[in-house]
Amino acid sequence: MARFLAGRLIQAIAIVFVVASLTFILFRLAPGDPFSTMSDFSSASEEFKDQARRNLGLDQPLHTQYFKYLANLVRGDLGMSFSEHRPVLESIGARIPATIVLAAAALLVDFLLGIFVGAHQGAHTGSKGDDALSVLTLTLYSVPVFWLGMMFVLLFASNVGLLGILPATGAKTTAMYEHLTPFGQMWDRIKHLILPAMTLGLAGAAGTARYQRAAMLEVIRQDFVRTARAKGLRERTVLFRHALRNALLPVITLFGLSFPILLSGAVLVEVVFNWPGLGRLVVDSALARDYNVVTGAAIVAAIMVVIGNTIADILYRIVDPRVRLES
Amino acid sequence: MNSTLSVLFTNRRWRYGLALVALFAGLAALAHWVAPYDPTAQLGLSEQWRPPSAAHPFGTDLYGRDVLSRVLYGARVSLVIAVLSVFLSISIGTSVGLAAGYCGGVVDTLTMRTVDAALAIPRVFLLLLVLGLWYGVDVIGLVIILGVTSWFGVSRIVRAEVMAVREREYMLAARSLGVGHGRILLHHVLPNVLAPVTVAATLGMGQIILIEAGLSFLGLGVQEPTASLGRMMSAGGGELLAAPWTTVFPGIVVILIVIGFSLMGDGFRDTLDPRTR
Repeated sequence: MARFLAGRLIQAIAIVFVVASLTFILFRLAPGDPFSTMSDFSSASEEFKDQARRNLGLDQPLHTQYFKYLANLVRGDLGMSFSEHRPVLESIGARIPATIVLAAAALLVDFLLGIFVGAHQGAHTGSKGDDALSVLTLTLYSVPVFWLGMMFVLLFASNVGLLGILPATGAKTTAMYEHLTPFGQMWDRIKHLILPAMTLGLAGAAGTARYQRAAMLEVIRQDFVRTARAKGLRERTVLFRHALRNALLPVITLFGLSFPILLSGAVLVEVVFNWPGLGRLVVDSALARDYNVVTGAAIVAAIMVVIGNTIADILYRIVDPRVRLES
Repeated sequence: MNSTLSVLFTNRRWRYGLALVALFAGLAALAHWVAPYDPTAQLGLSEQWRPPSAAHPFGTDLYGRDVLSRVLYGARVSLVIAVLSVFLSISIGTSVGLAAGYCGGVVDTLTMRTVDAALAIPRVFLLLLVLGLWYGVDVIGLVIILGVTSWFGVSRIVRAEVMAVREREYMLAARSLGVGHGRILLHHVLPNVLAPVTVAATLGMGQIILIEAGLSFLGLGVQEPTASLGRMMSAGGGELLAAPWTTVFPGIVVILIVIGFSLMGDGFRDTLDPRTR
């Protein structure tokens, strides 16, 4: 286990190094710099711009800039945010908890629903219910996630929607939040979480269900399932204790692979629901051309993906003792 | 080739997929004749936010533009972007995968580690990074950016195929006959990767359409007044409650097109890849 984690750490460092180098190259390839014509500084005088470039070290030779960039990265220094006037790491750190809460809730919806629906389909292939669910999952799989969010706003959001049940913007009530009881505050946050988490989770659940259906189909034809049935076990026991447990393995691989997709989806969902997470920060920063934040966020997102993959590998080990951890 | 086609046509999902894709590709190609209005024509304040009616089956938007006409032209823009950027990404991915798998050694290690790292960056973050730096790109720029950031998965698939065929006897035979590397790659390796690449390209079409829609929704993709399906849904965002049809209809069209490509991709996988048959 320790060796596995150490290997993963080295791998993570290698990935961060490559990602950082990629972002540096992209940054240098792009036309102009933060102080050229397209930016907020476009009307500043040439003297001002030169001074600002010198302050940021943009007048140094490329290799000097690159090594300085890497050295700063090693120290956890991702530079300053131009628009928020504070270190990038601080800006990003302030937004990460909201994204983790959203992603965790979405993962819960994704896998609980996806596994249940897929396993049910796999156990009843060819039935009317299977066909109907296949059409439904294929449709959900093809829906732009932000559009799904907007449809939920239209259907469920307070004041404005047809049903008017759930809040559709932010992570908590802005007014009066401080005056709620601790339990009331928690309930308020949960209410705000439901629509964004459902949106992100449902989009993922469609893919999980398709995968789980295939895995279940594979397992249910095997001899040990026939043996379990022949022993006279109840169908429910056969399906859940014998078939599903084995059909879960490939889905755990999917769990590891789903992190980048989940974070990508989170960006769009956060914008639709005004969720104060990393995704919104990145979009705002990209629109404001706050490069340091965007590059920093890409690096942080890559680290989150590596952590997610490691968790998936460990889970795999727990569920299937036959699997040896290798890095 | 004819036999492949006839097998494809016996695949129900592929047929349905083709029908959907052909329908929307046809409508998009003929948009100039099919669309009832000019997609950018602002029909005046009195025509603003009209709900669906006989004159405007999909209603009108904030500027009184006909939503149906904009959906047809928007589908054209989205499809053209998807075709071009998938072509670009498949070309890059196949070349890199062939090179990595065929050369092996240092080339393989370097490219695959880079691909691993690139795959660890969530795609939207990567695209925001690039689009944030190249702000306000035109459609061609968008195609290049989408293509250049979408080949990583394909290169892995191709590399795996190449590794599998590299050690086969017919490769050894070709090499001992003195066939050059270029000819081996073209005549003996490439045909083997065509099936998985076709599947990846078809599924990639749907993915790119969704991603382009997302970027345009964020305001970083196709810019006004050009109609793209994603851009229309974004314009609909502010008007979601006043005029839901401006958002609902472009979304449904995106879903149907992407379903079409997914079905076709599944059908290709079922028929072209003998191992899953």
